[in-house]
Amino acid sequence: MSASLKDSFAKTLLGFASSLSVLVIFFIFYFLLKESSLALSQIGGSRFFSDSTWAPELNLAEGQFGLLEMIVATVAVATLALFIAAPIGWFTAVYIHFFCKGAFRIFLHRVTEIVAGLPSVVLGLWGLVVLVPVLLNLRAPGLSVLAGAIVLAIMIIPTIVVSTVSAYQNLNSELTLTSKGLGIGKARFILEIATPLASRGISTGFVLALARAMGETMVVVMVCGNVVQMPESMLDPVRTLTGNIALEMGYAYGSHQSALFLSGFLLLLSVLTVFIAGRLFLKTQEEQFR
Amino acid sequence: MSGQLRLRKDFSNNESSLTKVSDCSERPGSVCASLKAKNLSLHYGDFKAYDNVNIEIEPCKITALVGPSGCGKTSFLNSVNRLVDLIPGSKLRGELSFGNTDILSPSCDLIELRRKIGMVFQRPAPFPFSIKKNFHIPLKEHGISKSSVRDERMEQSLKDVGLWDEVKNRLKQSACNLSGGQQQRLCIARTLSLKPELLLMDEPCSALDPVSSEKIEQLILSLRDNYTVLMVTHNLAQAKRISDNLLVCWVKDGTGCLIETGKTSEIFFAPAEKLTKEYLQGVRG
Ligand SMILES: Nc1ncnc2c1ncn2[C@@H]1O[C@H](COP(=O)(O)OP(=O)(O)O)[C@@H](O)[C@H]1O
Ligand SMILES: [Mg+2]
Repeated sequence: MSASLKDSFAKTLLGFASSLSVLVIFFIFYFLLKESSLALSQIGGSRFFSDSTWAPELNLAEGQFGLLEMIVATVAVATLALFIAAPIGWFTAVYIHFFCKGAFRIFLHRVTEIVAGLPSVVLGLWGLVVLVPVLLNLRAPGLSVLAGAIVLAIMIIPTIVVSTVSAYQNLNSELTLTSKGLGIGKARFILEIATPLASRGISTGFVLALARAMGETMVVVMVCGNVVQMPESMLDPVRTLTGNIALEMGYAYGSHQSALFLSGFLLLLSVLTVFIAGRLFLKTQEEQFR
Repeated sequence: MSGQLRLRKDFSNNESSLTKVSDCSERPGSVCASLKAKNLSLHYGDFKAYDNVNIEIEPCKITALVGPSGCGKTSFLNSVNRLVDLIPGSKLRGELSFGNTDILSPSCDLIELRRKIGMVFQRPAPFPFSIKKNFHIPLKEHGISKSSVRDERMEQSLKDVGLWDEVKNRLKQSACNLSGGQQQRLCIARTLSLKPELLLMDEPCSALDPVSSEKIEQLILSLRDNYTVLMVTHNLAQAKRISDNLLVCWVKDGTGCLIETGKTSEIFFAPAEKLTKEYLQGVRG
């Protein structure tokens, strides 16, 4: 085979491989939409937002198919989780990267990896046995938005730590020397030089963590209480979109099942929205910066 | 002396450190302090980078440090403001003082030391922020809490290095958009804005084109009256043109050492050491 032929072969192969992931996303979208079509035609798209709650019935006219409460619950639990996890994850990363050396640093890295690898069902069990009873003291039933957010936060902290540390590691090492040469102290270096320059990598980590929290199922089923309602406080029990799919898919059929596919579609759409919004936000940030 | 002692205590209190900083602005480059090294040596782990350095740098003069690559010139400059502390396993021994400050003392205030002893690196190293931020961040660190004062300092230093007219309309733009020579002048201005007393320059022209290099050279000459300058250069002609005093170093048995010190004109005219003579004639090194 001639060199140019080899090149074009490699190019085609790589192009094929990378278009595969795009294809997969398209395929998933298509499949979810196709499965939702029954619900969309029989129940009608608008009822998913206008119906006051979710109470599917065989008789479609009597049933309620509102998804809004569960969309709000999904967003609330995941956002609260990010609000808890972001500062803790960032502090941990700063501590690991700027203040730890040698064996202790490696130890912290290992711990982070272990937490990242914990099965979510185990975290859910911990939440159920340890966290929920504590919250129960505040208000019944303990199973709540807050419970889910805390357990999810523990789950996504490692994602944030790992991406933040690597964002700091990717900074030009001359920066440290230059700053020290100017007598700039550590705190100012971290806050005014390193963090702004690493902000792109750091916020990518936040976006990934948020997407992961939105998609997590087992934890929320176990500790959020699964009551379909609009949360009015952090201590209210809620049901998320993922939880709903997991709980009902086993016995649903017909339009009900199709409606569950539709909620899966909405979930995917919101995760993609998070990614795109994150990108746009970064862009405006960087333009401001220049 | 009491002023220096006061500064550290009051560091958190911006008002008093401001007073202190403006004190020194009345006599830029506090003329009296001189840098003295006695039996100074530096180890990187087991490797001895240089040994037995005994010098006194004359204040308000330009001192050039010349010698072949690897004889420890950069290491010596980095010792003077304790930047070698950043390298794990580095160990400075001997005596090193600047005015009344014992540089090697564990209680030496490194932030203030590095303000008093400014550093310009070989490769221009502006922060990848706006020109303005490049000045504001270090000035804030050194207690200038008023933004307008920081702006004044920036303007003055940029004028001192002849860069003001070139950048005054683009202070909000990234410093990385400047040319190499402009970046280096920016870095010098940034260092000057902290009102240092001693300027360390590590081959400040070696990464630049001849025209920019000439500008920097003129700039260094213009600093002579107000600052003490210690510069490393590879360019012997440059050392001859601009320096008052010369330090010639060499590598012996893998360790750097000084072989000759004195007035530049005298050393070039009549080097005492055979090695120096050969080096200056370009026979060795
Ligand atoms: N960070 C370091 N760790 C170990 N050895 C170093 C380090 N930096 C420099 N050296 C060694 O110290 C010697 C002097 O280096 P340097 O000060 O850079 O010389 P110069 O600036 O005169 O070329 C060299 O042999 C170099 O290999
Ligand atoms: Mg060097």
